[in-house]
Amino acid sequence: MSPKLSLVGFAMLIFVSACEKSQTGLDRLFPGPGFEKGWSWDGMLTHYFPDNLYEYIDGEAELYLTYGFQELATLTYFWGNADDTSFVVDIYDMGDPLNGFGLFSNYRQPGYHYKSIGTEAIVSDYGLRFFQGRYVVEIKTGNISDRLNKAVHTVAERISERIPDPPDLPPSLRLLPAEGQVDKTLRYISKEMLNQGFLPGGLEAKYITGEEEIAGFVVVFENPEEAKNGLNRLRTFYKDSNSPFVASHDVSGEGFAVRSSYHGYVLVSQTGRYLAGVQDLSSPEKGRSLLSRIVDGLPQE
Amino acid sequence: MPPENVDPKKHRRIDRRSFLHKAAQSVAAGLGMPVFFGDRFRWPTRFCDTQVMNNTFVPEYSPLGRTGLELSTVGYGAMRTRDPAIIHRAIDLGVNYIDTAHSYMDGYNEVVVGKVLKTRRKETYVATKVHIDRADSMMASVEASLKSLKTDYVDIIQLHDLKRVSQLRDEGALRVLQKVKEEGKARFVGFTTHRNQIELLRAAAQMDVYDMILVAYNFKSPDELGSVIHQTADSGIGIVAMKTQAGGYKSHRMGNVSPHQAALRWVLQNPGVTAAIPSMVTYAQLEEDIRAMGTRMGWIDRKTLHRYGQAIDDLFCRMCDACRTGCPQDVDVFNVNRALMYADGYHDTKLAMDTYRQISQSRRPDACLACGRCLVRCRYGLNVHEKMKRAAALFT
Repeated sequence: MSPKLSLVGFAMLIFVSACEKSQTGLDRLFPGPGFEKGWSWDGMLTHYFPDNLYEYIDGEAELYLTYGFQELATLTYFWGNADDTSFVVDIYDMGDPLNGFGLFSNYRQPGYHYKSIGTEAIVSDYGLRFFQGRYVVEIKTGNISDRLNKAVHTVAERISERIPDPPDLPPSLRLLPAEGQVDKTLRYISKEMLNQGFLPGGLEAKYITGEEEIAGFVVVFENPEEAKNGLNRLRTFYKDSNSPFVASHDVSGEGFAVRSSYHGYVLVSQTGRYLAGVQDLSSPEKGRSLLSRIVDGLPQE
Repeated sequence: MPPENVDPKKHRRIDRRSFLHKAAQSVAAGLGMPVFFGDRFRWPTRFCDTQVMNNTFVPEYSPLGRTGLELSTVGYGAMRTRDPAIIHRAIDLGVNYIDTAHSYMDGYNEVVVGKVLKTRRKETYVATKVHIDRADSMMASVEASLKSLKTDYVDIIQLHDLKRVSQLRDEGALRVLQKVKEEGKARFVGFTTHRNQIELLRAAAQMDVYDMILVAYNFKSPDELGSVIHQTADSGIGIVAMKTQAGGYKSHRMGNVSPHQAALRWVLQNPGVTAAIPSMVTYAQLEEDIRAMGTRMGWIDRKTLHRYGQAIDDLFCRMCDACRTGCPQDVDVFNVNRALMYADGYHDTKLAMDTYRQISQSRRPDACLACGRCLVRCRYGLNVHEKMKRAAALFT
C-alpha cells in the first residue's frame, strides 16, 4: 500500500471513528416518537456544554458544573399536536457515576416519592428525575394527567434501558457506614466540604443517635499530608471564629472537638488521607460512637 | 465604565465627595444614623459580627424602590445552598435579604431557608418566586412556599422568569398576585427576568403593579440596560441584580485574582440597583462578597474586570469576517459562528437553526470532526476549531 493510500485510509478511520462517537452520544438514549401511540416529538435535539449550560438553567448551572458536567441533550415530546400536553426530557452526562450520584443527591430527601427506575428515581410535582451511572435524566412536565404520567414513566424506563452503565451505586459511597444512616440523606459533595473553600469533596449523611439527628462526614484528600493540612486549616477557622475547643478525649488520633456557632459540637479526626467527623451534636460524647465507626470503616492505605 | 445616559452626578464615584460620604458613613455606623448617598439614603450598619470580624468593614443598606424595605446591598442568593449554617453566618455579618424560589432544588431550597427563618424571620427580608400558571396552581405554589419557609408571609413574591411583556399583563397572574397581597401572604410583588429585559423594564415602569424587579445585570450587559435600570428605579420600582458574575463562565486565566468583588461593585455603582444577590456556598465566598458593600469601584477593579472580560471574551465572535477564506475544506466559518451567536448570545434556537440550515451541506463543519489541524486563525484569539466542532454537535 502506498503512503498516500495509507494516509487516506487513516483519515477515513478517524472520520468513521468521529461519526461513531457522535452516534454513541446522548442522542441515542432518547426513545423515538413511537415509544407509545399518539406521542410525537419535534425532533429538535438541543445540546448544551459547560460554557453555555447557564443559558438553559440559569444560575443552577453552577451546581452542575461543580459535578463535572460534560453535556446536556434536551428534547420535547408532545401528545398529537397539542402543545399543552408535552414534557421535556433532559439527559445530563456528568462524566462518571460518582458525579452522577453527586448531582442527583442534591435533590433527594427523606419522604419524597421514589421509584426504581435506573439506580433511583424521584417523582415530584415537577416530573421525574433519575440517575444511572454517569447520566442524570430529568423529565419535566407542565401539568399532571394520567396520560402524561404514564408517558413520562415509559420514556424514563426506555432511557434507562438504553443507558449502557449498570444501575449500581459507586463503591466509594461505602466510606460512610450504612448502619444507622437515615435513608436518602447520603450525599456526595464534589468540593468545598463543610462550606470551606479550602477543603476538597467528600460524603455526608444524617444518622439517628438516641432521639437526635446528627451528621457524619468524610472529607477525601489526595494524600495524608494534604489531610493533615486540611485539619490544621479547619482548626484555624474555628479558632478565628472564636469557637471554643473542648477536651478532645472523644477524638482518637489527630483531631479536635469544638463547639461551633452553627453546627453544635463538631468532632473531627484525621486518618490517613481522610478527615472523618460528626457534627450537629448537643454534646461531644453523643458523637463518639459514630465517629469511631466512621474511622474504623475507612480504608487502611 | 458606568452605563451611558445615566446622570453622572448620581454615580457613586471615588472622589472627594464619596470619600467624605464614606467617612461620614463610618462615623454614622457607630451612631446608628443613616447617611445620604447621592439620591437615596443608605443605612450604614447595625451592630453585628462584621465589627468583630473586620473593623473596617461596614455593611450597607439601601431602599428598595417605594417598598420602604432597606436591603443590604449584597443579599443572599440561596439557589445552591443546602446548609442553613452559611445563611446564619450571612445574617450575622449584616446580610438581611434572602432570595429563593419554589422551583430551586425541586422545593428543597425553601426548606433550607425555612430552617433559618424559623428563628430569624424578624432579621430578614425574604423573596420567593412563583411561575405563571393556572390560578389554583399558583396559589398552591405560594402556600407550599410559605409552609417550607416556615413563615406566614414573604416580603416579596415574584413572577418567575418572565420573557414577554404580555406575561407582565397576564390578568390571571395579576389576580393571583393581588389575592396573595390581600391575604397578607406577601407584602410586595415583583418579577424576575433574564431575557428581553429592556422591553420588560420599560413596560413595568408604565404599570402601577410591580414593586421590584430581579434583573440579570453585570459588567458585560449592554449600556442600554444600565440606563433603563436607572430610569425604572426612578419610577419607584426597586431593582435587585442577579447573575452579577457575567454568566457564571469560569475562567482559568485569572489566577488568584478574583473578579467577584469587582463585579459586584460594578453592578452596585448603578444608582438604580438596590442590591445584588450573588450565590455563595462557602464562608470564604460569603466574606469576600459582603466586603463589596459600602465600597466603590476603583482602578484595580476596572483592571480586574478588564482582564476577566478578556478571559471570557474568547467565547464571543466579533463578526469581523476576517476568517472567511482561511479553511482549506471551505467550511463557512463566518456563518457557522453567526448561528452559534444566535444560539449562545441571543438564545434564539430557531434563528440559530435556520441560519445553520442555510449553510450548504458541503460547507458545514462536519469535516472539522475529522480534521486534526485547523488553519483558520481568528485575529481575536477565538479557538475556531473548537467552535466548529461544537457547532457540529449542537446543530446536527
